[in-house]
Amino acid sequence: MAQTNKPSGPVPFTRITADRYISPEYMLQERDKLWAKTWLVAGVAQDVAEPGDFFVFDLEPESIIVSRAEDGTINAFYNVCQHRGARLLLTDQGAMETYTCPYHGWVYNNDGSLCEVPEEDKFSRGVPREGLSLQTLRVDVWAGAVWVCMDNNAPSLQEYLGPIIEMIEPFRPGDMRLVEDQTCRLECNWKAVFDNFGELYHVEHIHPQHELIFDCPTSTAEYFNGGHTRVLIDGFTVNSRLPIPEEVPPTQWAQMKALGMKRENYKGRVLDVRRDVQLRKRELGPSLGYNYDSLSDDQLSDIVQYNIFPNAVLVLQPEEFWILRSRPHATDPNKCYWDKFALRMLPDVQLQENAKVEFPALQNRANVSFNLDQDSDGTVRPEHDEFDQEAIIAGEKTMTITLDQDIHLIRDVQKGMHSRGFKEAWLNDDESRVQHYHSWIDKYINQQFN
Amino acid sequence: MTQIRVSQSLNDGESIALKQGDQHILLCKISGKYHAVSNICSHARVLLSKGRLRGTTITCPLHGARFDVTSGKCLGGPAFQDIASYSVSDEDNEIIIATDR
Repeated sequence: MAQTNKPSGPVPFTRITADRYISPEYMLQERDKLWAKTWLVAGVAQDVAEPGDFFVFDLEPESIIVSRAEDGTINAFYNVCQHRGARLLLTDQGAMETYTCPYHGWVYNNDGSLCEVPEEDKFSRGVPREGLSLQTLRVDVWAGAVWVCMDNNAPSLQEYLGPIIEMIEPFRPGDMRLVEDQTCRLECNWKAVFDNFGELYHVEHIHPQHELIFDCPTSTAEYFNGGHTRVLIDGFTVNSRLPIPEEVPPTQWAQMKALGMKRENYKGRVLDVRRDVQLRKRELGPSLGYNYDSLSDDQLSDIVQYNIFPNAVLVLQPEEFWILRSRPHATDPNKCYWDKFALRMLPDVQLQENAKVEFPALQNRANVSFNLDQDSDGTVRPEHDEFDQEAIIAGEKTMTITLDQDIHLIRDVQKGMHSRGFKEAWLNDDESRVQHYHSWIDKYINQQFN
Repeated sequence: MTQIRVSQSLNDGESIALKQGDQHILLCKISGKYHAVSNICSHARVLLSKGRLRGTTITCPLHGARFDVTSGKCLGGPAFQDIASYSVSDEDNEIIIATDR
């Protein structure tokens, strides 16, 4: 995959000025023209696995309930009582047959229909059930996530994502289980943190550990209709622009050990590790409990990242899947919520029992992908953990070292947007994904899609 | 120290409401182990046993407060206070719950 990272096509130029990160007026335009028009990751599908299960997706000032009804259908409603507009559910997830408004006790079934109104005889105008059911929005399930869209005229999720659907399905993200559920309250605009995932230019500067696992300079970027992008990065290798080390860097030891590869065998030939990881995974897949049949060799060793317009980052490895998501603050363009859902493929015990290759070293958790450092094994849903960026900066919380490094930096970028000394961004070719993304932000804000 | 003795056995994931005097107890069986907590939501004072149990979490049927039935810990929703948790022993086909009075 030794290709260059030149843009695959011309990316329209958009001026990226500071106002889109700091202006309350711009923020209000986004509310109507962007958030209300696009498909958004609402949460993980496993949270609505059984009838009665629900979760709440807050997209301030909006709040949305996603629920599986008794008949098995998944619905999405605005989290607002039709009586006086009170917020119906004040919890983030659970399982309920009915929802009772905390204000005057109106009761809705978990399919959104109005069920019971206390002292109904006092409503001399009557209580028409159809008009007073919870207001619904569009909902779909794909890649282990529930997606919602507030616009009834928008294309389907399939059309919205286009070719990306088929590209991601071989990873079987829908079969993975949640192992981590975090939210960090950041002091930056929601796009500032998203931009950070639109380029690899910064990686050599703030993520020094990556030069010993990934080869960012040879990454391949792609640009999709709708503002989405993808980047492919070789893994189990080193940064090819820097001197190639003689020995395999410690950042790869744990994964190699889990695959039964001896690092001393790669002295002087560190660049062979990637190919051998692919071969070993192919050979040992069933013993590890992983079915790699749908994946290419490159996909066994590399990282692929999709930025889904407007606010989701999907990072895929064969054994692990991250959904990162940025959400706006209700009133302040200088604040946002940064979510991380980490999902993991649970080893298939049946596959392991039938495996031809015995591999007793793999009795412990098969640590064969990057970032598998969560405590949870995926059998119990982790509790949602929400914290301020200060908790990351103080080292009390972590979202992995890479995301922590981003969080340390991004608050100061937001401050820079307020400076009299800054006018607009000046991007290079490797930042074309940022450019592409903002050109689509402009299309939505200007409502001109030609 | 008061005890409540239950001779009925539960299936995994099942829960029952118990009442002794004015004390309401929720008994649950999860992964072969019994757990007992107060059956009254710390928010709106309704019976949690009418709510749904998923894993170790019960959701209050009224406003969605959530509690871990293994510890009584409040996990979210409009409630913020934990509920009482009681030690349970499973002896000779009898479940004994040690209540606090």
